[in-house]
Amino acid sequence: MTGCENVRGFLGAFLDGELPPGESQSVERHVRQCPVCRSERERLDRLNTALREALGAGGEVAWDPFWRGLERRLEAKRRWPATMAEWLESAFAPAKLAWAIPLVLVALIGLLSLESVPPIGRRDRNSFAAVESINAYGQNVALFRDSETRTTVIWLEQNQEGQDEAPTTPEPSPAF
Amino acid sequence: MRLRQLPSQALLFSLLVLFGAHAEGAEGFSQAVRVTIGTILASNQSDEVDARLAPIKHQFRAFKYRSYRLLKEESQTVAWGSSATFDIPGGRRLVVSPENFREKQIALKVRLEGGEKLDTTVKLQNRGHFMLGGPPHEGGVLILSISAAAQ
Repeated sequence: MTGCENVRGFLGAFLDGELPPGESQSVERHVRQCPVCRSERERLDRLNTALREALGAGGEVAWDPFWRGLERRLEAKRRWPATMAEWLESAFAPAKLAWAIPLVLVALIGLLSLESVPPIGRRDRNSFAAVESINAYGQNVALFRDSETRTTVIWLEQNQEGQDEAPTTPEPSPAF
Repeated sequence: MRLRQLPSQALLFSLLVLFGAHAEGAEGFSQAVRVTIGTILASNQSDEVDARLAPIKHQFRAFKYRSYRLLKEESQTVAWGSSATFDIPGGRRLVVSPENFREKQIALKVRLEGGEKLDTTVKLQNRGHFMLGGPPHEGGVLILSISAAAQ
């Protein structure tokens, strides 16, 4: 440690007595020989002296409010990420996550079962019925699907000769 | 309760929930069908539409009758594979047999007898309905609204 820049970098620690003995002696030697570094040391000495005098004049510094304020600010800064991290950690803990599976299943089943809840006006809900087979035993039969109302109609045509109950007045066929 | 035991218990609970959902969702779980037959007289003798038919009134646009009157409505709970007979005005009978319930669709075998004869098998959505019309009655025609709901 011979360069001025090196020595100046350690001057503060040297003055505070924080350097190991070997380094401390090396700095001491350099400062004795180097006027620039000696001048720097003297400047730091004066500063230390002034600071000590100032602190001595004011008595004990009340550091408590400062530390409390600092703690508050640190706490505020760390609050939301820390809270979020804690929440995520607890929410995704394996044990709780395992319980989330049945809960999600129950929710899904609940949603799916809503489909089977009959709406108000139960008959209004209708979709096309699929007619798989029709046998009208020789009678004319028509199959009609109204896409607008989604209604499926099987219509037995009236025979010209009439069957059990011929209408007293001829009725028109349905409009399909 | 040890924390380590929780996942296995949750897994067991999940399996039970899944099993329950499967049983509920499996249409075979349904033991019976509620079949409802509404007998409607359609005619041109007036312009009145029965207030009780309001929920399906819009479906009458398919027909060109002006008057619709609900003559009767009857519901029966029918077990799968068995049948129920509904009396229809004019000495007719409607025999309804729920056959199966697959993919949320109810397969119904319907037989009209005692006058006009008709056999049909229809698949309709659970709680859905279809119409069977045409038999003449009292100067008009009968329209049967046939609905089914798995129980």
